[in-house]
Amino acid sequence: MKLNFDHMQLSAHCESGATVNMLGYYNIKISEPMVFGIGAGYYFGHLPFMKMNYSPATTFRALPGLCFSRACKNLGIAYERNTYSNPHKAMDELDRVLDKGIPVGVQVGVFHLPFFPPEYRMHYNMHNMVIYGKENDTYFVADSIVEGENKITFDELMRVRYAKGAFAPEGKMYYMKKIPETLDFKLPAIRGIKKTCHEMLDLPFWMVGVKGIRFYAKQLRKWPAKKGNKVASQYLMQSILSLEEIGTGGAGYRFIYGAFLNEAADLLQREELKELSIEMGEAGDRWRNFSYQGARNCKNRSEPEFSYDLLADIILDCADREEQIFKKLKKIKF
Amino acid sequence: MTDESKEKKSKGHIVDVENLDVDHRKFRITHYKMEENGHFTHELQSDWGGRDPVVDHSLEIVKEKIRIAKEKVLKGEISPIAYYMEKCITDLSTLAKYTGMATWRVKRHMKVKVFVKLKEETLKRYADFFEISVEELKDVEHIKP
Repeated sequence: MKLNFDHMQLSAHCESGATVNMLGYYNIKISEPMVFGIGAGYYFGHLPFMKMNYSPATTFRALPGLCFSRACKNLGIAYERNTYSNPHKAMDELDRVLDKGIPVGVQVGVFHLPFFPPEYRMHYNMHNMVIYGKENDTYFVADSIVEGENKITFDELMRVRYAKGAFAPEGKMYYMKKIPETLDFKLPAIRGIKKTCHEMLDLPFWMVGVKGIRFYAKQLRKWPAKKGNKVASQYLMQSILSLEEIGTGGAGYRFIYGAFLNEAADLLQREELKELSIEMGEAGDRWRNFSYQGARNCKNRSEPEFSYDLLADIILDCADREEQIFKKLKKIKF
Repeated sequence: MTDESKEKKSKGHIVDVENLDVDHRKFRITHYKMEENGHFTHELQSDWGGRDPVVDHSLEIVKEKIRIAKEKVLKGEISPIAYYMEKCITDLSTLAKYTGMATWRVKRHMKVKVFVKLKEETLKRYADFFEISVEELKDVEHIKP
């Protein structure tokens, strides 16, 4: 059986894309930035003790799964999210929910994912996609990043759902159980904004939020002297990959968030939000600037074209801009 | 034709990173951007301007690691497990989780002395993850260019 999933939208971020597609199945029209904003997916964290690809991890998003669950909570949708220790049980559960006519989102690792482009097939376990049908041994997949209709066999799906490594999915699947008859995006949008402001400004930990951006700049400055140019360029490359490449929609979700603020301004009839969205876009341009120049350093590894001090200065500038934006955003009384 | 496709299927799911040539313009992702009037638009693009050097660089590092591991294996300094581990872009802890063994055991198996004494079952666990047969895993000649 196969659910009617013609309207699949492509999107930049896999998790908000999966949420958009699942909501779209229930005839709810919502854009990707809106889901991203309501779910408060915006974040920053630089965690040197956690290594990805032998480099310190830099993240621009909330933990996997949070964006979906927060969006559902804020919108008043009842949802179910589970992990399973037994792979066969997880697949049975998936079949059972699909038979009821509910599209199911699953978290998978991309290393064994057959339709994914080869250059991204690393041990990255935070990809999300929606499964909307099954025929014999084949599942139909709506992957919001890969164009076209994708299929995956039973064995392959089981393997990617039980990928191992950092952030192992452990067969995580999620679906919506009950949707309220009328959905209003106003209050959820405000809640999302408040949550993001809190996470960026008020968390008492120096590696996350705006403080985290400053900490990242500080670390970046130290890399060439501490580790040598070669390793520094590798670290820089990894953070640029997570800034631009892995489904961020450009400049580490800053443009998506700007689009959300723009949409929210129309929704809530607030001119201030529109100004802030433009500021957010400018901050995004600044981040883009950083990744352009960093990319050139990657090209010429042993002799960096731009000094790391210069790059760190750009990031400090970004931190100042974002602090301004979120302080203003926090002050607005809705 | 059918034989060829069959062969491709039996080769498994793991990308051959060693001989990978990236087609940079093939894969398109949604990119958002701000227009001059303050509106946000999005479109499918394969590029954001500086993409190629970064992706190339990340692959280069992997390829270099594989090359070094290969040389060491051929010299007999480390066991083929180390080479296949680099080939699957895996690190120690991930490989240990996939094979269901402790990290220190996997690390120990990298020694040639230990590797030659390994049981068939243990080798099978590694071979399953690397998607090769046990004979291929044992045979060092196999990886010679």
